[in-house]
Amino acid sequence: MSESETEHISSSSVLSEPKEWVAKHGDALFGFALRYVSDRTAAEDLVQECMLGALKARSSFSGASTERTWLIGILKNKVMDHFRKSSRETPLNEPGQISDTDDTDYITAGPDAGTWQPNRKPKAWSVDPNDPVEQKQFWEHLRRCLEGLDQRLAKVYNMRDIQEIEYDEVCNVLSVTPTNLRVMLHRARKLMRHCLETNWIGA
Amino acid sequence: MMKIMMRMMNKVLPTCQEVSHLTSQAMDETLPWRKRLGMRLHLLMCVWCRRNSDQLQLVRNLARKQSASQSKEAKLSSDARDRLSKLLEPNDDKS
Repeated sequence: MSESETEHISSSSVLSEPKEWVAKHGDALFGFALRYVSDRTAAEDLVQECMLGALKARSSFSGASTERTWLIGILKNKVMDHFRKSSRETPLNEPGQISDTDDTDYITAGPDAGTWQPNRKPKAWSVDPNDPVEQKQFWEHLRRCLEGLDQRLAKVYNMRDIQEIEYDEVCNVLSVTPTNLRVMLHRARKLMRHCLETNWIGA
Repeated sequence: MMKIMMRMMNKVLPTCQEVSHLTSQAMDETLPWRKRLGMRLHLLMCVWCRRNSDQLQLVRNLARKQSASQSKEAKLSSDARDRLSKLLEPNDDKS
């Protein structure tokens, strides 16, 4: 077996030189981070923390996964730490602040209690979700609607419905109970749907 | 006619308000079968709740898709690239 063949076979279980990581995985790690934090500087910082962490933990690399997967795993931990830290600064679980009782979408009394208020009935949406132009407009409106949301609602909505973080993991990272998260997500989704209907569809 | 049907429906099935909660909950976990059945039957008969449910799911699918595709196109700036490369130079390796 020639030397190059040996190298090729071992490349999946042995780490490459750290100085090659930036070229090999830099963009992928950056893209991954950017999904979780919206500004580029914060994403760059996370990539840096990930690479420094990886440098220290090099000896613990078992070769069970590829180098890329290993680095992504470290980055994911850094991202979750980042969320944990920011949730300590603005705690989500302050009781009584997020409630569903101020629900104005439905009739509250009489024989029609629990049905839609006439002016709150969802309208038909005539959009083509496969049209790239529509998608782009959708994204702009989504960002804008999110800015108008209560900070805490925006955060859980972002994590769960945009960044695709698992339900249990969101609970864990933000230290909210599953019931509380359910209430907050319901409220956030309802407000976002309504905002999009008014501004994106109705525009 | 529609109104009378809606009133009868609300007696046995979950109300629109309850269905709205169930619709959201179903996006995160599998509902117990009774709740799921109640929700499905209600959705069959109620166009507004059906719209609500479809739209909530459409919004989430689009949001996740857009977010994922944007992250695929992301590129590190050359400044960040240089800075990171310097950090990873062998002579900086103190471990």
